[in-house]
Amino acid sequence: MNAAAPLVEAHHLDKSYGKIAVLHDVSLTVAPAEAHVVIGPNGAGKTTLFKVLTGEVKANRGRVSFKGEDVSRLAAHQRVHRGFGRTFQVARVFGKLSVQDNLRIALEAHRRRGNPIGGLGAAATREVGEAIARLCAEAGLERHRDTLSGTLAYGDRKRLELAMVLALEPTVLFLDEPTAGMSAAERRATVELLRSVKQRRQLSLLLTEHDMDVVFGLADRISVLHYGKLIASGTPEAIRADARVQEVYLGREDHDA
Amino acid sequence: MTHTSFFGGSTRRDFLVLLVMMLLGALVPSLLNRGLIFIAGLVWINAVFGLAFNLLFGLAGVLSFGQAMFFAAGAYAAAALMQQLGMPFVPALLLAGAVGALLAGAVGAVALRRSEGVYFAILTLAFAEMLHLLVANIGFLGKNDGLSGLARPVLTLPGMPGVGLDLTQGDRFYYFIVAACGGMIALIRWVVSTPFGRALQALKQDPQRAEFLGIPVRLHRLAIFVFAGTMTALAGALVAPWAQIVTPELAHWSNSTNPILYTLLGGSAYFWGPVLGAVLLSAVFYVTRTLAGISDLATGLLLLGVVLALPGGVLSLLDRWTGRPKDGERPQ
Repeated sequence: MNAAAPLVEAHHLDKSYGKIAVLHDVSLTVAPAEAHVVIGPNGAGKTTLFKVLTGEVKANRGRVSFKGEDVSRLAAHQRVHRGFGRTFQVARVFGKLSVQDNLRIALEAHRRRGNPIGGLGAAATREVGEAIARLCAEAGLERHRDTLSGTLAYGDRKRLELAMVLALEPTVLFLDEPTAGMSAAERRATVELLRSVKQRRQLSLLLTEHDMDVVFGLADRISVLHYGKLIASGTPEAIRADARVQEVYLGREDHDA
Repeated sequence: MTHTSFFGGSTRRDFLVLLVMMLLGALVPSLLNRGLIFIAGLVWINAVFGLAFNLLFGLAGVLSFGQAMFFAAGAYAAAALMQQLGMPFVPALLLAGAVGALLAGAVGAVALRRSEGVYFAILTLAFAEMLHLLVANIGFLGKNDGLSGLARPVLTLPGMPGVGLDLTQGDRFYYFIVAACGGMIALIRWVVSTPFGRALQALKQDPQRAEFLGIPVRLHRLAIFVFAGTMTALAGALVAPWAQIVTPELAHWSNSTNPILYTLLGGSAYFWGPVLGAVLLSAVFYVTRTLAGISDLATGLLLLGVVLALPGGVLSLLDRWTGRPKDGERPQ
């Protein structure tokens, strides 16, 4: 799988905020239909890496490419149009709108591709309606279609956010701690959901995660970030056996979830 | 959209409300005196002014403190094109709208770099004050006196000199205002109901989430700013022949506060909020018109009362009565 041409490539990324260097010479790849998990202690730079890859902030040095195209200079929404999907560490949905309106906005955004006057017409409205039903079913949100999304339980809100991103038909999903703040049961359900979605849609995943059950339950490949540097990258078995990783991360029992 | 959408009700219901308003508006000349007909015309124009402002504030979450610049630009463009250059009314009106669009495009391209919080409000205020100074110092635009003695138009068809609609007679221009403003209100309501309108609701709540759904946030804000500027300029262009005078006061910052007052009074979370606000404020001004200085005081007290007692605006009373859950935003 790793032999295939990579879908996403990060080349020698440096990012600092003022004098504080957060990422130092980070290079990594995500292959088609691969789940690549980035782990590392808090403050290792995982979220910054996500921000750089998805276009929320620009790197000071290095570049990001997608399907061979340099996307470093593209705005976040343009990367989304290329096939990037992103969820946030704390699920972000439009809380004052219903579940189905959240999905409608995502579906319409996908159809319009940024064009303010796009997506009009009765056919578009009908197709969006059908897609809302499909996505609600996929994410297990049928009962909540008309619920105000701000009042959803946290796990449901996370699933709604994921469904909104899936509405964009992404090729690669960037998931920042997809199970943060979830109960053990919700975690298992989320791992199952991600696995089935990845399988069905042939998605690539790049995720950060603290929970080791989730990490080893999902990962095809694991990279370890430590103080802004990538110190190891390999299969789950190789990472488990890596002495350096043991020392800085896995061995530590008090890692915060 | 469902009941949870920003402006509450269905598009169909709002078009019905508009139709009823236009019918009531059309009855005004047969029921009320000349002075009140004039005020009614201004209320229609101000309703569009307020609705265009609330597209920015209530829908897209962008607070402009300089909407008077587009109102004045439209009024001056129409006045100058008709009086100074002898252009017929309809092309002058359309060009005035285009002036508003271009001005909004230019101002928006600069000011929307700082669309968060108070910076955008201050930038738009600064641009409006620049326009205020400009029109007060250009001879072609009458300097401080503005342009007066503006004629009400006769609508003609090009190439058919005999056929026309004489709007100088009686209350005809009033009916024209009702029709034109009704059309603009319908257009504004339609824009709210489009995917673009929904995307604006989304980016008001969380611009970053919207950006990561592939919605170009800056472009969307610019697009609604240009649309609102166009509608505002068209409203201003109607004021020129209605009041028959345009003065630099139209671009003064105090005129920028008018649509804000309408919106806060009526309720920014409701489509009809600014319309109700425009009606209420005009009524207060009319009732207190003979009491020098009292009218501003009354307006101030009314606003104070509403903001303190009904932070969601007068229309939030409807929600209280119908027991709708309070999901509508409050003015921030």
